[in-house]
Amino acid sequence: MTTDFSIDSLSPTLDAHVRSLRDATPDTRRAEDAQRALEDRLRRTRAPRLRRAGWIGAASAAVLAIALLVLPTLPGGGQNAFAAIQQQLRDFTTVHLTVTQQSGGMNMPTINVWAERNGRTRTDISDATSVIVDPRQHQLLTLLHGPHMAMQVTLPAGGQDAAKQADPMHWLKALAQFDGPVTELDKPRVIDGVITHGWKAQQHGMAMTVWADAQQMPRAIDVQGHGLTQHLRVRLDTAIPAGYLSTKVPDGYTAMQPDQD
Amino acid sequence: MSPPSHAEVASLARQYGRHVYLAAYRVLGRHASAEDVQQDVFVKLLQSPPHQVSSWPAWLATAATRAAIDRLRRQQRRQRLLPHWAQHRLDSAEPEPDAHTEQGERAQRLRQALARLKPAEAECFTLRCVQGLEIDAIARATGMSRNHVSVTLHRARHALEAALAPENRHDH
Repeated sequence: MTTDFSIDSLSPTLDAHVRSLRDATPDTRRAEDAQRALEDRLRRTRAPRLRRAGWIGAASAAVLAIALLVLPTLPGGGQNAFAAIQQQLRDFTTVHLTVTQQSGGMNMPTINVWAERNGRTRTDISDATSVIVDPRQHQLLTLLHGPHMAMQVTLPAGGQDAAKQADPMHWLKALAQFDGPVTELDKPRVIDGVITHGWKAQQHGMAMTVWADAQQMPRAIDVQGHGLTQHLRVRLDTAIPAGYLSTKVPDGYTAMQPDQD
Repeated sequence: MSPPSHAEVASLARQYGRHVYLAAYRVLGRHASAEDVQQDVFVKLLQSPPHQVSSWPAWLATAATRAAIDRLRRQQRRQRLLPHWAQHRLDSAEPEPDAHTEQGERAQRLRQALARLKPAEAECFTLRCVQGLEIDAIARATGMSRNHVSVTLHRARHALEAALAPENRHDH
């Protein structure tokens, strides 16, 4: 068995060289130009008209991305206060998540998720894309805000995988059922003027901290690992603007017809 | 878990494209090269999608680092083969932004040393020390055992310590 490699074991010379690479920061404008070129290239390689499955895939991918962000943040149980936090997450009526992310000091798209207990969900990736899923009505609406395009799809009766992936209960249940070690942090943190306490956990190489107030209401989740820093602002049981979870094509958007498979 | 569809790859690109760009830029130090790697990673993801991915950020950082190191090694090989005047023309096509600062010179020395390592050593070392992945995450993303990753990291460190020792530097 080999002794674990430690970054602290680097000589000062090698450490200085490593830091010079780690601190290399690209020009923001060039990085944004590259990001646009990447998205353009992926769009060009797509068929001119998106197949229905593609739109469902886009929607499920958007929500799956949230699950990828949030699932690793599931802290462990075994402590009463933390169990109460898990209970809050089981009992919510509505949830609003704002996910801000950074990678090596670079800002990444902000994601907003609104969800109802019955499963209706809206996911906004920056101001470019929105995906609204209504599992009960088997409806899915994808909005591309730049070109003002909309795709309304009836989820196939035999193919509910996308809806299941899009169901926020999928990850909330996973969070509520998670059982692993957590550590309560000594130092409180003030979020929106409210004193909160943190519970820290480690999973899949991610360091995760959940911040909850005196009523064990979760207020925020911090995630760090794999070169990413993520901050999830959690708001439970807040009002969702009227029509925000509607799967009807909004005014001003051109409805695109899915190809039939 | 099924492989990602085209739309899912596009969504991953929106989410993690900048992350991939940054990982490649750190290794290569050039914007144009980082952009090429960024596109290669996502196009290959479309062409040969993986079936099991436990963490997309780690998987993408690994793919970007692997592609960037491969490119770095090819650049170094080409530079060794080209006559001096042609090397100069290539370098001046896109100079590194901070090539003449102390930090830039150190970064360039480490890139040259990484290019001389075995690919797996360069990849593991970069993922752990530059991209910040934990050993377990590297093992999952590369398919290596945890122990193999640790051994590879130790070997890479020894090789780099030797290459960067003041008496052994091969500065250009």
